[in-house]
Amino acid sequence: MDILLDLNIIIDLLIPLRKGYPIAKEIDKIIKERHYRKWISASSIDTLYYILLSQAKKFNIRDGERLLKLELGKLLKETKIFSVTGASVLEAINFEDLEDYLLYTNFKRIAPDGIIISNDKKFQKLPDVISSKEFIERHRNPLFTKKIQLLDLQEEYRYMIEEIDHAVLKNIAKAQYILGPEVEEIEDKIAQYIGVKHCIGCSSGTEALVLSLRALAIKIKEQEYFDKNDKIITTPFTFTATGDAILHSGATPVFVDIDLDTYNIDPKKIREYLMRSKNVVGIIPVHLYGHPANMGEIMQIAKEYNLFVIEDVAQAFGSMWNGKKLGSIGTTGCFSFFPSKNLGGFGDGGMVSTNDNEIAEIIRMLIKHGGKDKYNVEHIGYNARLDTLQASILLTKFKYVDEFNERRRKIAEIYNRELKNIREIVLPKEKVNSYHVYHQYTIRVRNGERDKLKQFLQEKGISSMVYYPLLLKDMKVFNGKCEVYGDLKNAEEATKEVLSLPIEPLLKEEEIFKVINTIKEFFEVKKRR
Amino acid sequence: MKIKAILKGNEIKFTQLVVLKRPEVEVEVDLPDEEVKIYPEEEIEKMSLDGLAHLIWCENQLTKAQIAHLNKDYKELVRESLEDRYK
Repeated sequence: MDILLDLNIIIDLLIPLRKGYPIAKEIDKIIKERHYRKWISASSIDTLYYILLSQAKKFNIRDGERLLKLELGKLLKETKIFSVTGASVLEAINFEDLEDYLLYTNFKRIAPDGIIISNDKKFQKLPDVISSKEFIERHRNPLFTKKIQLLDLQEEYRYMIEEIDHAVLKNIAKAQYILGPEVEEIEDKIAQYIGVKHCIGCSSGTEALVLSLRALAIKIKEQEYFDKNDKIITTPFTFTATGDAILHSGATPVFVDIDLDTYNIDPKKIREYLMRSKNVVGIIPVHLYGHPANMGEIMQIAKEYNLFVIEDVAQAFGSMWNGKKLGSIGTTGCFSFFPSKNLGGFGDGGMVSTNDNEIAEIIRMLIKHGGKDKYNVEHIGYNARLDTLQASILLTKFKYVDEFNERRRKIAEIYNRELKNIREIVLPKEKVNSYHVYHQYTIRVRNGERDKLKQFLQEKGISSMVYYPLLLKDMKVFNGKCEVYGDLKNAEEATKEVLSLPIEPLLKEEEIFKVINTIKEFFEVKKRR
Repeated sequence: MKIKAILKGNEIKFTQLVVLKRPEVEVEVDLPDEEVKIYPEEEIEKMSLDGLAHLIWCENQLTKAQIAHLNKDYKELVRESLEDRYK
C-alpha cells in the first residue's frame, strides 16, 4: 500500500518534542511493520527543510544545519519521492488550495489506490485523505484485501520511480528519439553482461527472431528468405512468436516434444527427428519460464549436423547454462523487452546477441530498412529499431535486473519449501548446470484439478495463468504449414496441467504465504469432500 | 594556560575576558565524563532516523517556552520559516 504523509505528519515525526510525535511514530511503525510504502512530494521537500532549519537556528541547535541535512537524508532514504508535473500546476491554479491539489493529483497519478494521511480538516474532505487517528484505527489490525497479481508493473515503477522519471524526462527533452546514444549504451551493457561481441537492439522479441532467421538465410543460403523445404526444429509448447518467426522467414517449423521436467525442447527428440529427416537447417530452443534448455546437448547435435542454433531468450534474461549467460551459447540469442519480461521496457522492444560479425552487420542493416544507406538498400528490410526512449528505461531497469532475478528465486524457494508436500502438485525443477530466473513459477496440477484451482485462487483474489493452453501445431496459422514429429505427449500433458503462480519480485512475504495457504486450503477442502 | 569556561549549547563562554591575538586559536577542552556524551561521526551516520531526531531535538535542553514554540501549528511554522529564509 502506498501512503502519502502530509507535511504536518512528517514535521511531527521529525521533531519528537511536538505533541503529535507519538501518533506520527505509531503511523510510521504501522507503515514499516506492514511494509507499506511512504511517499513525499518533491515539491514539499524544500519547505520541510526550511521549517526544520529555521527552528534549529532559532534554538541554537548544535551543528543544526549538518545534522538536519543528515536527518532529511535518512527520511528520504526510506521514503519515495514523486514529482509534480507542470500541467498539474496549471490545473492547480484554478483550485482553492494549490498545495493540496498538487499533492493530491500527482500522488493519485502514480498511486491510484494510495492513501493520504493529513491532519488538515480541509484536505480530509477529498477521497482517500484520512486523519492520523483514522489511519491507525483502520490499519492496526487490517483485513488483508489486496488482490495478488501475477506481476505488478505499477509496483515496479514505483520502486524505481525517481530514476525512471529522470531518465524519461531527460530523454524526451533531448529529442534524439531514433537511435540516440542510449540505444548503443544498452547494447554495449547487455553485450558485456551476456559475454558476446555484438548486441543489436530491435523493436520486439518476435522481430529479434525474424531478424536472426533472415540474417542466417542471407548468410547461409545467400538469399533473402529460407525455402519451405528448409526445416527448423523448435518446441510446440511456447508463445506463438517462435513458430511465427519461422514462417515469416520462409522456412517450415518442425515441432518435437518437450522434457516435462523443464518444459523445454527434448534433445533426444531432436536427434531422433534428425536421424529420419533431411533439410533441417537449424534449431530454436526456447528457454521457457526462465529455465535454460539443455544447451550442452543441443549444441553438440548442432555441431554434428551443421545446424545453426537460435536461442529464444525472451523469458530468460540473466539465466545461465553451465555458468554461461543464455544468449551467448547459440549462433544468436533473441531477447524480448516486453513489459512483463525479467528485463522489460514500457512498450515493445527486443535485442539480438551474437558473436558472428557478419550476422551482426546484416541485422544492423535489416533493422534500418535493409541497408547501410537507407536511400539505397541491399535487402528486404524492416523498420525495426529499438526506440531511444525504451533504451533509456531499459538502462535504468537493467541496474535492478540481478536483484529482481534473485528476488524471484527467493519467492520460488519459499513456494518450493511450502508446497512440496501437496501430492497433487508437481513443482518446477532447477536442473544441474542451470540457473533458473523464474520468469514464471509454473506448477503442474494433477488429476484434472488445474482449472478448479485457478478458479479457487481467482475467488480469493489471486491471479494465476495458463501458459500455454494450446500447442502451436493446433493453431490455425500453422495448419498445413508445419511438421510434427511424434505424438507430443509431454507437451499435450503440459497444456492440460500447467499453472503459473504470482512471481512479482516485489511480492511481500505475507502475500506469498496467502498464495501458499490458499492452495493448501483448496486441497484440504477437496480431501474433506 | 588553563582557564575556566562554561559550555552551553553550541558556545563556550569564558568566566574572564579573553582577547585573542589571532583570528582563531585551537584549544583542547577537558570535559567531565559524567556531564557530557560525545557522539563519534560514525555513530551519527549509523543512527536511525528516530535516533537522529532525538539527538537533534531532545538532547538540547530546550526551555518550556522553546518547546511550546516548536509545538505551534504547522502552518505557523511554515510562515515563520519563509520569513526567516528571506530575512
